Amino acid sequence: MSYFKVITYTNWLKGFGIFVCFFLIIVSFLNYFIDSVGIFHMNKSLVFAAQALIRGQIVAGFRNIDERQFQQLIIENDKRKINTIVLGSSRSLEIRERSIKNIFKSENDINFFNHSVSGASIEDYIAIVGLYKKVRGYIPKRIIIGLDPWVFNKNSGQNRWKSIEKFYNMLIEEIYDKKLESPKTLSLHKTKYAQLINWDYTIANIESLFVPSKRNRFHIVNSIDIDESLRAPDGSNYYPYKIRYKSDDIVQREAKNYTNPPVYSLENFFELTNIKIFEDFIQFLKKHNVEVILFLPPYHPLSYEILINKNEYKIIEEVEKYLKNYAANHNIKLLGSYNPKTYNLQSIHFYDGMHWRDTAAKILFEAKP
Amino acid sequence: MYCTEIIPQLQKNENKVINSKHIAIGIYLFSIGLFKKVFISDYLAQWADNGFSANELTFIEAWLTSLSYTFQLYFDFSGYTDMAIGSALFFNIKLPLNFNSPYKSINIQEFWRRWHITLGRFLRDHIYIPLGGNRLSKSRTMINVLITFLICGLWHGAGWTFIVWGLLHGFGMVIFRLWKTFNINIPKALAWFITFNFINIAWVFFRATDFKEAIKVLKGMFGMNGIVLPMAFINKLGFLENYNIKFGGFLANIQGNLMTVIFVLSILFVSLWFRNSNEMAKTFKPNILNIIFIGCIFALAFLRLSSTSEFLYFKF
Repeated sequence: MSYFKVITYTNWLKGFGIFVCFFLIIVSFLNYFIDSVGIFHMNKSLVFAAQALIRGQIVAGFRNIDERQFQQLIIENDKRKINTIVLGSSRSLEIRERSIKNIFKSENDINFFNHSVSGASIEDYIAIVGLYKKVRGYIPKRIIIGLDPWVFNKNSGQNRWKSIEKFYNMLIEEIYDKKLESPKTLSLHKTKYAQLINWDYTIANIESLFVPSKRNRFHIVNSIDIDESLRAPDGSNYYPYKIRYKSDDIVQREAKNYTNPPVYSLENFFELTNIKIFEDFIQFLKKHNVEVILFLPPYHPLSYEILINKNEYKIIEEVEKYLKNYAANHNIKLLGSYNPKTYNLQSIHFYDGMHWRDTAAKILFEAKP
Repeated sequence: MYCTEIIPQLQKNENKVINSKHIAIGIYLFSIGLFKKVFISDYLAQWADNGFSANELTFIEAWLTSLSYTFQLYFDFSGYTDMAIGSALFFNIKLPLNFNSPYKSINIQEFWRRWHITLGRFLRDHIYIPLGGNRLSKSRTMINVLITFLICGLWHGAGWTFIVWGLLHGFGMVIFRLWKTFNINIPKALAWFITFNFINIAWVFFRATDFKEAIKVLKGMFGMNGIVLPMAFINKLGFLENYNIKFGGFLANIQGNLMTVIFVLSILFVSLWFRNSNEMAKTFKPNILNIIFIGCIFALAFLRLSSTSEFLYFKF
């Protein structure tokens, strides 16, 4: 067979069609079977990591995981009665047990877990509480909700909560005593199977095969002083050294870059949405005697200053104002502020434009603004 | 393009049948166009977008920003054109050539014979010639050229930056015409260098949302915000710190890395030394090698479509 031999145009077209179909089928098989993130199969290593955390061990080697599925595994496998949890995004992932125990010094029976997931939306909070209610049969008695401004932006583009949609729907049915139509995004199955021919997922899978550093290779470590992405037994996060010990020069530059459009989940944020579902959710929790604490994760001083001076992002001030009013009117404790000046936070208290460091925790959870 | 070019083709009976040769060449062009759009243009877009929206740009960042946009626009627009020509061929319609490797041009006049050919033809036939073209005095010809390019700028958008872009090209064309009268020859490489950089700088105004943004990029390109070199060079070139050259994240403001430099330079190489898609389509042969080549290009572009943006030049 000569690759250069001229064939008829009709045969060329047939050959082209067969080749393209064959190519895409191979890619789909590759993505289905490698499935580095565990979209199509239960990721056994994720079960291992979840069980290790529950046993009180520190787990290293987090790369690219379905964080919602991970939280589901933790809640399903944990036999302890957890009474204090954090719900939030990566901006709340540094809330540690010691900070919470510091707030509630008089309590000796705090069983804490941080269930924050990257890019959390209101649906994530509801789904995780739904998981507790449906799988464990209870709702933790204290819930700290890390509220990012994009929670109230219907155009935030966050739809990762779909992987635990079932529990979202279950709790929604209970909150409203009827089935509520979930926000219109791709259905779970469409989203899931679209990954079969997704470029980014194909690259991630190929990388996981050939680049060891790109694999989720969970292992248990004895200390947090390890240059890897870690999860502590309380569910909180430790970044690798590159981020943990980033110089302030780089942080400041990144903080400025952070405000270059598109700003994470804050685009097309014209008005506050999701207010009703948020308030109904909080009322539902209060009805179940849950102590709700709202937490507003601060932005880097440079990022915040630039954001509030841009018309398209200054709405974050409005979000804070609304939440402060809501908390005051409903007798709900509110910690933190998007504005770092409120707590006198400096650049050294941040990893980048929107993630605060451990050093900020002491100020955020001890100081009175 | 003119309806006189399309209607007769639609009326021809022999064009109302399925022509597998045209479909094959159409797929060939369409696939290359799609690949240009989703693999080249969209990759370049990230650095161009980051650069234009950054608060400040250093020398290397500013040049990579402008070059990224220069090539983004070219591959976006030529990709779109290839897809349009390819799709029309499925129906036996032959659309006129719209692109002919414009960045190979060694003067601004040649550039406009290679870039957006159908628009150039339209402006010539409906603006430049009715104004008198070059049939009147020399000075009137120059004014006609300027008016034509001013309208060309306005055609792209009702903004001052588009007007400046159009006028820059108009003045470029006037200066070139004057230069020609002196009959001085300069080396081709130098002619290309001047032409390409002129076009590249003019695109800054075309892309910028306002003058402030354009000046920010130009200030960086002319070294007014300093030079930052990669940290890896500090051992060998550390003495440059005495001359106010810094070392560190040399592409931090455009969120780039060494790959950005390699990618942009490779694209420059491809634009200058490779045949364009229309030239390739003319020598297309239906063989197995082309099934594999085009099949891979199409399938990869199809996969990549899952995270792509809209066509940049659609609004024009």
